This record gives sequence, C-alpha cells and structure tokens, in this order.
Amino acid sequence: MNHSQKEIDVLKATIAVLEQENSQLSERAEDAMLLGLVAEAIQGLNDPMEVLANVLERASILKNFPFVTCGQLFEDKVEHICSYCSFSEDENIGYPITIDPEICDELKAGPFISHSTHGITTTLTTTGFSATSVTIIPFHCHDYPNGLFLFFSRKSNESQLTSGLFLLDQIVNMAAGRLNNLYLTQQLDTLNAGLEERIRNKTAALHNANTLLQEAHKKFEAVLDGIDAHIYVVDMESYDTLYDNRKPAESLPSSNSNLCYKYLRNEKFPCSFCKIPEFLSSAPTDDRVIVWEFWDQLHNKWVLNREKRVVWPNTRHAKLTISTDISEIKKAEQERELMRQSLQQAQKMEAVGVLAGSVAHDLNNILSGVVSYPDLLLAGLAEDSEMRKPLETIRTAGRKAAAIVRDLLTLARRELKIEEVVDLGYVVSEYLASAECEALLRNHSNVKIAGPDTSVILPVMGSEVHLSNVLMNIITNGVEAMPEGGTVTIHLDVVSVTSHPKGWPVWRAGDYAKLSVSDTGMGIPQYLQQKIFDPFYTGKMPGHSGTGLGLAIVWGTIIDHNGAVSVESEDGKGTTFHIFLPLHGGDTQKKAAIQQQNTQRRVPVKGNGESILIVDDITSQRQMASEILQHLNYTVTTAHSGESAITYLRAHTVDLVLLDMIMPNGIDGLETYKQILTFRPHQKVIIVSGYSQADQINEAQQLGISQFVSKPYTLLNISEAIQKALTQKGV
Amino acid sequence: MSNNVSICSVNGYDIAYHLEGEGETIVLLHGITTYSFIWRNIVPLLSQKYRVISIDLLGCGDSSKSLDTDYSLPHHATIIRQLLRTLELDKQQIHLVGHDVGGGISQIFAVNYPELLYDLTLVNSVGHNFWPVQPIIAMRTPIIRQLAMATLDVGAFRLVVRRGLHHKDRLNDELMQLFWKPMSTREGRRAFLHFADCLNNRHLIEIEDQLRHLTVDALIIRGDADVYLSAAISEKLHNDLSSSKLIRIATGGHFIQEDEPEMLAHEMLNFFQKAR
Repeated sequence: MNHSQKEIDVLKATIAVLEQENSQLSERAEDAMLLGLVAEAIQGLNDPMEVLANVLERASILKNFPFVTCGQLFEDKVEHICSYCSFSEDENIGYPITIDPEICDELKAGPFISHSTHGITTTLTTTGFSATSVTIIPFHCHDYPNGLFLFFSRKSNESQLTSGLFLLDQIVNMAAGRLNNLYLTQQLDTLNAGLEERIRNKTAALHNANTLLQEAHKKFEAVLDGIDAHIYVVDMESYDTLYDNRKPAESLPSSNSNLCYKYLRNEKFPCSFCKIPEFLSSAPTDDRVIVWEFWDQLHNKWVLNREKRVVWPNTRHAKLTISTDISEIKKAEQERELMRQSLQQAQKMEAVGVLAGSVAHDLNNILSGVVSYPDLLLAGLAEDSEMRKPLETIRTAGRKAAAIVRDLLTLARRELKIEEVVDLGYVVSEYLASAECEALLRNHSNVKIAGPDTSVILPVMGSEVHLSNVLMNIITNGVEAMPEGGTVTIHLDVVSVTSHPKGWPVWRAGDYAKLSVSDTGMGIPQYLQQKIFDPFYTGKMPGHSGTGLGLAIVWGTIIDHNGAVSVESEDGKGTTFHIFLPLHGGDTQKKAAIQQQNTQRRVPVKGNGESILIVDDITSQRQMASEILQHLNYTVTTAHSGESAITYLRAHTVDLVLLDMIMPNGIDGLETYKQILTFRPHQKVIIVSGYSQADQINEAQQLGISQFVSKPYTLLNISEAIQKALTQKGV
Repeated sequence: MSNNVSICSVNGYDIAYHLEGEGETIVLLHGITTYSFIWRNIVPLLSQKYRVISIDLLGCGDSSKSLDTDYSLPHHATIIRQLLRTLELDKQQIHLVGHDVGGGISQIFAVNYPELLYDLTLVNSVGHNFWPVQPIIAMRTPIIRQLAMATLDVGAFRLVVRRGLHHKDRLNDELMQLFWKPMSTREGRRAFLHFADCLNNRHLIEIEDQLRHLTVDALIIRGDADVYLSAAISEKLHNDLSSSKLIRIATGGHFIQEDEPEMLAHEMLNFFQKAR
C-alpha cells in the first residue's frame, strides 16, 4: 500500500511536472498564435497609428492588460501616441504620464517591469482602474526614437509577468519593425513620386525642347527656302546631294539620282567647272570661299556661286554652295555700262562745250569786224565797185568762220532754245529744198536723196535752225560716206516708247517722232559706232571735209531736245542714223504757218533817229556797233563800262541800251542792267554777248530785257532786234 | 425580417430594434455572440399573426457600445422595460422570448414585471449558477482563451459558431458574416468583451426564489445538441417554473434558431395560442 502510495505520489509529482510543462507549452503555443495574430493584423496596414492601435488592442485582449499605451519619452514625460483601454473610449486616458528618472535610466538597458505603480504617475486612478504592475518596453524607430510601450496590469504574479515579457518584447519589436518599414516604404514612395515627377518634368522638358527644335527647324527651313538662292550641300567624295533648299520639283525631276551633277545639272559626269577637286586638294581646315560665276545654259541664266567647306554629320568632306541667279544684276551691269558710256559722252561734250565757250567769245569779237564791216562797206559802195567782190569774199569767209564758232557754241549748248513747236517733216522738206542741199548734191553728183513723205505733220518742241543743222550734218555725213555714189534715204515715222530704250540717256513714255537717215555707204565698224559722236572725231580723210563736230553737234542737239540718237551700221552695207524726238501735241498748223512766215526774205529795218546807248568794254566793238547803228539811222552814244553807262543814264535819257553782257573789268551787263532798273524801271535794253551764260540771260530776261542778240550780229538781226525792242511796250 | 433598423433612445443609449407585423407583441432577446439577426428566420413565421420586435441589446448589433455603463442582466432588463414604454408596447401584455443570456434577462424581466407578460419562453437559456459557459468565464481569467482570441481571429470565431450549430453545413459565408459583423470593428470587439465581462450568474441566483413563485406560463426549449449550456439548466428551470413546459429538440444546437427555425417557431406559436 505504502509502496503503491509512493508510486502514486511519484506519479502525481510526475503528472504535476507534466501539467506544468504542458501549461508552459500551451502558453508558448498561445504566444506564438498571438504573434501570428499581431503579424496578420498589422500586415496590410499603411497607417502607423493603425498599426500601433492594432498591436495595442491585441496585446490588451490576448494578454489581458486592461490598459496599454504607446508614447514617446521626453525627459520624464511620456507623450501620447496611441492607447487601448478595455474600459474606456477616451483616447488620452491615463495621461499625462510621467516616469521617474531612475526608471528612465533603467529603460536605457531595456524592458522594465514595475510591480507597483511607484515611480510611474498616471491619471488612471480617476477612472476607477488601479494597476498593480506596469511593464515598460522601449522601442526605437525612425518616427519615434524614444518610443515606449506601457502595459498596465492587475496582475502581480512576477513569474507570469516575466514569462510574458518575452512575448511583449516580440510584439513591440514587430510593431517597431513595421513602423520602420512603413517609414522606408513612405520614403521610397516619396522618392518614387519625386522620380516620377522628375521623369514627367524631364519628359515635358524634352517634349518642349523637341517642339522648340521643330519650330526652330521649321523657321530655319522657311528662311532657307525663302532665300532667293539655291543652297545645297554636296558630299565631295561621293558627289551625293546632302541638302537642297529647293523642292525636288524645282530641281530636275527627271533624275532619280542623288548625285549632284545628275540631280542638279542633268549631267552624266561631274561638271567640268566643278570646284570639288580644288577643295579636296586644299587642307581640310582651309575655310576659304570660292566665288565664281558662270552662264548656266541648262537654265538659261547667269549664276553666281559661293562655295566653301562645311562640317556635316557623317561626312568627311562636304561643300556648301549658295547659288544665286545674277541674270538681272548682269543685265543691270550692262545697262549701267551703257549709261556710263552715255555719261562719258555727255562729259566729253561738256568739256568741249566749256572749251568752245571759252574761245567763242573772243573769236566772235574778232569775227564781228570781219562779218559786220563788209556789210557796212558794201552798203556804201557803188554796185559796180571793184571792191565789192573781195569784200563779199571776206564777208563769206567771215560768215563761215562765224558758222564754225556757232557750231562750237551749239556744241556747248549755251544757246539752244527749244520753245517753239516745229514740224519735223517741214524741217526735212525745207532742208531738201535749200541751197545748201542743192550745193551738196551738186558736189556729189553720183548721190541721190530719197525724201520722206512729209504730208503727215510731226510736231516736236525744238529749234528749227538746230534741227535743220542736225539734218544737214547727218545727210552730209551720209553723202560723204558714199564716195562711189549711192542713195541717202530719209524716213519719218512715229514710234511709241513704253520702256527705257537701250542707250537713251533720258526718256519718257510716249510717242516719239522718228527720223531715220540711211546711206548705202561703206558702213561704220562696230567698234567705232560709239566714237563717231565724239567731238573732233572724223571718219573722213584729214583735210577732206568737216570739222569733226558734225555728229557731236547732232548728238548734243538731240539730247538737248530730250531725244535720242542711235546708229545702225553694217560694214560695207551702209549706215542708218535714227533720231527720236518727243512728239508734241500742240497746234502745229498754226506754228507751221508762223514758221513759213519766218522764212520769208527779210531786209534790215532802219530807225528814225532814236537814241541808243552802246555799252561795251572793247573799243573796237563799240566803234563797230556805233557805225552799224548810225548806218541804221540811230543816234548813238557809247559807254566803256557799266559804271559809266549808269552815270550817263542818271543824267540822260535814251530810247534803248545795247548792253554787252561780259565786261570783266567792272560790273557786268546783268549787274549794270539791275542798277539801271533801280532808277529807270522801264528802260529798254538789248543784251549782246559772244558767250553768255544761260542762267544770266534767263535772269536778265526775267528782269525784263527787251531782246538778246548774240555776237557776231549781222546788220539784219541787230536791226530786227532793235525794232522789236523799240516797238515793245514798256514792262 | 426587414433590414430596416429602427433606433430608440433609452436612458441616453441608442437601442436598435426591428419591428414587424401586427397583433400581440412578441419581444425577442438574443444572447451573447449574437444580436437581433439570430431571429431573422423566425420573425417572418411569427409576424404573420403577431407584432414582433427583435432588439439589439446594449453593446450589441447596432445599439450603443458605450463602455461607461453596466452591461449586466438587470440593467439590460431595465432598458428593455424602458424601451417598451417608450415605444408604447407596454399597453398590452407581451410574449417575451429570450435566448442564451437573453433568457437570463427575460427571467429577471419576468420576476420584475410579471404583469406585463402573457408568457415567457426560454430558448437554450442560461439559468441559476450553471453559467456563464466555459468560454465566457475564460475571458475573465488572466490567460488567453478561445473566445478572447475569437474576437480577434475570424478562424477562432468560426470554431465557436460552428460548435454552436448542430447542422454544421449551415455555417456558410453569409451566416459567418452576420456573426462576425460586431467583431470587425475595434468598438464592437471592445463592447463585446465588456458585455462578457459584465456577466455574473449572481444576478440569476438572486432571483431563484422569485422565479419559483412566478405564475406566468413558461415554455422552455432545449436544443439537445447545445454543447455550451448543459441540459441541467433547462431541467432546473422547468422544475422551478411552476407553469412551464419543456420541449427538447434533438437536432437543435446552441444556435437552434439556425438549426431548426420552423420547428422553433412552430412550438412558440403553439405555446402562445395555448397559453391564451
């Protein structure tokens, strides 16, 4: 019995041990389940507060802690983070919570179990809950570096509390781990979001840049396409066209090849004038520009090429060509050259004019005697006087000399007045009927002149005398160009000019009268055709005839008439001069009638003893003039200067003043006239000059001079001028 | 049973209830781990002839889950009384039905307000000192036990429910969702634990004498397959209540409303009619 009792005791003891072990094992199993539940509960949570709340709730329920809280320790104060209370919904229940410094120090070493609430102050007692023990487990995570879990219990069994500590520590570690994970995940999310934002920004920036690039490209293309030049780039090794600012349709659509000579010039081989070999033979760093021009037969235009090396992607040697159509420039250059020649011609004429003008005055003064005295002497001679013949010869020679001087003056264009309307046909017919023309044909019996149809009136503004002179010069020229005989043909026509004709210095759109004079002579070589209008140029044998001024006078006269002269000539087949004069739309018939009247035979008109003051600084001129005027029955007084004339006129009255324009040693004619007008505003004055400047004469005319007579004057023209002046009404 | 929940404020607490049908009033009280949903299959059978009100006890279902108050049986009974007064359902007598701890509340209500009752029906009810059932007691012990874990773990909770059913196959997802609904929130879990914490068989032991003197007709229904409450409770109640009838249903588990709703309703309707 004892034995069995002992066995029973042993068995009981064994069972007790086993039960204890079983209890511990169950507790461990339950702990494991709790950990599993905690892990499961916080697994999918992303809110740290939610994680803590779940952990606290599970610890409270499963380990039977009525109040559990999580906070952060600042010195001795616990700052609330999250709580679970089985008996209250108040989130801040128990707070403020403070922990004594000694316990805080203990916590540095790890979890701490207090078997009383001594050293831990809470407000839990106000709720009716009194804890008997507190388990404090510190934790660290990123958000809460000084975190604490406080588990308030009614238990005081030390072994139970201690055994539960391991589990609580695990739970807290799990929670802290989760919080750190959440923090890292959040950081990662932030970084990812930042990265995505950066990628988005970068993508947007790239997109913008791309858009800008495309825009820039379009602008660049628009500029290149808009440039009035063909711009292209060629690979100098392969001859491939790498860039071309012309649309394919504007190039050569027939060629499918990219090779520049095929693509651009439709050639089978590189062009003979190609500069690529020249570029390739130079150093790759050579950045010179080759500029050259050529006549592009393919496109029928002048082209200026500017070429240089350029850096081009994927190509070692590329050449940029800017090819410009310079046809218009070329044309303009040619026109400019013609203009330059015209200007040169005009300048030559001007130079001759200045020369002629400077000598004409002196010559005229000298010739005055030769021309005027024979008239005077002949008037006093008997009809059968022996002296009459030599005097007439002298007079003729003098007149010829005067004609040469007049030519010179004409050339100087100082005397030309184109105020009247003349019929060009009338001028031609008058000339053909003139003694001069007859004489010309008499001297060249093998030459005929075929006149134009002059029934149509061609009114032009001009000087009949000068136009007649022009005609005489050209016809004479034509006749003399046919030593073997021939025909000079004259044509009259009307042409319309709508654009600037080549070689015309001036032009206006409108109708022109065209006078053409053709001969069948030897012709003028091309290289001489421009020179024939030069002064003193003569195609004739020296000493044969002509002064060399004929065609120069023609040119100058026609220019003064706002017209143009051109010449057509073929060596050996004859020459045609064309003269163009602006057609005038006035009353030509009336003018023609006046013209006819003017050509009637005139005789000097004598005066009735009217008083005339002759003012001239040259004694011989004064003497000659006074003899002529006395012959014409005028009462003559002379003055040797402007000043003396004024003095005289202040004291005396005269009917007319014959005033020399140029008097170098005192006041000139114009100034004299001005001063006379100050005290004799109605004084009649004729200005006389061998060489008078057009602007001075114009001024004098505006001031009211009666007439202007050029030296040397004849008995006839001075008598007419005096008569006109005397019969004019006072201004 | 309609899904529309009505709320009535009683002593500052929101009490949820479902009201359906016309006629004499049947008041249905649920037990722990359930709420008014447990009657959903019974109500349509009763409401054809009766006005049926099924109530969510304080801390359960859609009623207030305040922790600052006592969830004890007498307090529940007081709140029910107030609710009936507020809803003016106390003008006539009522048929009072309680399941589980709802049966305990019904006993207290019956001894306190016997004049309000036509009759009393106790279905798998707690009684005397033979309860709380082991899992409920366990919650008040300092170690982890099944039900505590069940509040946090749907798997563990499922086991609790499953054990309460005779027809295990009736535990589908839908039913499980209904049971689990209060546990899905922290507030619900805390209220549930508070509810359990407040249970005390002292309150029923105190009325044992009053119970024996109660003259109200009583029907005691026992599911013989109930593993949580012993048959002894039903038998003792049958002995103590002088005018009582005990019906035992072999295929009824603790949640007999899920196992045998028609049978349960049939017995109740028979009882209500005969008692009259």
